Amino acid sequence: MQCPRCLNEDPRYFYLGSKGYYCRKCIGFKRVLLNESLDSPVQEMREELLDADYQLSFELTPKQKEISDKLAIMIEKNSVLVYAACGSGKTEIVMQSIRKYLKQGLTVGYATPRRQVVIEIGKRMTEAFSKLKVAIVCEGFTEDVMGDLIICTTHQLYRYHQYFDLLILDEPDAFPYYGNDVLKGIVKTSCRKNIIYLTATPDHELSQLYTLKLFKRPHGKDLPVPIVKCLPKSVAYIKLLLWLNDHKRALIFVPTIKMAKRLSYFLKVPNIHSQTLDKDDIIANFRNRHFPYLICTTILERGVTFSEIDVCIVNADHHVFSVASLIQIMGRIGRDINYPYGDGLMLCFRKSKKAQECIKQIEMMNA
Amino acid sequence: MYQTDRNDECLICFRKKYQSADLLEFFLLDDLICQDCRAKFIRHKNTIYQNGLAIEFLYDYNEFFSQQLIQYKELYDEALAPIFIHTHIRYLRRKYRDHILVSVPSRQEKREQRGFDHVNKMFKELHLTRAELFINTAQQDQKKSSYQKRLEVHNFIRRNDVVLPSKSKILLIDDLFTTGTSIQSCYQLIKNEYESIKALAIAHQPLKKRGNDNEG
Repeated sequence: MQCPRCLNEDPRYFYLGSKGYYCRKCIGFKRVLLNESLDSPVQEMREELLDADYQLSFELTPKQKEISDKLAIMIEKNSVLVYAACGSGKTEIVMQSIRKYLKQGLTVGYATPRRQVVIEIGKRMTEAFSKLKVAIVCEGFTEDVMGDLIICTTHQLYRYHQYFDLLILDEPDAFPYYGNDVLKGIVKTSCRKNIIYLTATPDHELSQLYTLKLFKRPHGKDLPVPIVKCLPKSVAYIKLLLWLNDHKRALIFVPTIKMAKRLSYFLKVPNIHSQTLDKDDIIANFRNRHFPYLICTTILERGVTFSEIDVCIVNADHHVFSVASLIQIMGRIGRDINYPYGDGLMLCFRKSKKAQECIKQIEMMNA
Repeated sequence: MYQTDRNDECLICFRKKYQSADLLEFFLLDDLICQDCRAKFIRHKNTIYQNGLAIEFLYDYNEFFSQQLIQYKELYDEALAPIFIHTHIRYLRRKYRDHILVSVPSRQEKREQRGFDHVNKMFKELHLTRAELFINTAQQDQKKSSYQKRLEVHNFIRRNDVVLPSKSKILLIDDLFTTGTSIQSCYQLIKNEYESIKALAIAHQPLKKRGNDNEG
């Protein structure tokens, strides 16, 4: 017995209802009977093949070009992991493979666990592939789910059962995809052929795949190595104030929503977390420099790019921050080609192995 | 073999039911879900009177309750059917022992999609006689309609030709009580036929935008 959607085989999750056995593990996506054949959306038939050429506002570096060519060849046969540092241009690298598939008349999807990232990537893709209809599908954008190139959250993949020939899965180590069997199954069933995984922090399972490595950012500068300060609580906050004095624009990461609200009260700057209603507005205002600092939880840890920014993590020893998320947060610094530098600060209340591991891995990527 | 009913796992969170239970609970407890999940339901017995009909509720409507109810009736998770009245079952059996259950009808199309009648299935454990007195001829889903539209439900509920002895006691059952329109329209159709009519709903969801409560 196996669920046709989430590939669950555990008998505990099967229940005999009046229409037959169904899977209770992925019940959140509406009941699926075991003997039910899910219909995949119908692909629009076209007279001529798509004009899938893309334009970038900048040139790829030789190293990026090399990886991009290799990827386009390798993806024909196997699933591939692209292990690349934050800000090294992962999105631009896969564009060549996307074009290759689309020109053959095959379907391509780009999935990532976070809604914020979907919107951001959607914008970049729409700019690059100006002749295509890029469909952005995530919470709040679900009216039109079909397009030439589909960009969606991993949750929305249940709409595309056995639909994609090429699926690009960005940040497979991020919440809520990481460690979620249901989403893992849905990703597998939505794709007919090969998957490209893009990440800066692969886990053991992903490392088994064919791997392409890219650690140099386009500007050729090293990744900024953060400073770790281990201080008692009260002193740490004083250190934070002093540090903020020296930096004009900074993101301050905190582990909990409560802490975000409290710190935002004292520093008199806005905060953003999963329960904030006008997230998009706050981020746009921060981009336009309406306020100097922004306090956020791990919601902004991935996929967002601000130029000319410094990053501070308060309570970096908190269990919310894994090594992967620390590396991702530090990857927010120096992404803009004109401002390749920036400062990172981790304030720990206790000595933390995770912070040390993070620095070790960043230095490994720089080497 | 694949039934989870008699298992010792919680139907909602799939953890072992007795993991956090003490010895007394271990021996006395007879529940389908774990006590952590049960505690999230707020038990609140309450009766309100509307146009001469006494309507009893078992729970307060909260976030957790609505999640479970949606999972049950919109995502078609049949396994959750018995959990709603399970802890009230002895009380309800005693109180309504000689009543006949009459459910507020759901749309035929929806019932076929689900494969089960969700209201009747919830109250199945009561083991009372059931009767179908109404049919619902509505085409549209009530949930999507606005407050004004909701009041028009009584246009769609029809009495069918089943007739019970006029001395029988009727218990109208429904899952959620919002404005009371559907339960009231059922009541208006049969109130002259039978001597005693009562109503029972699982929870009371106060509609945020309240017009006037007396509207039937």
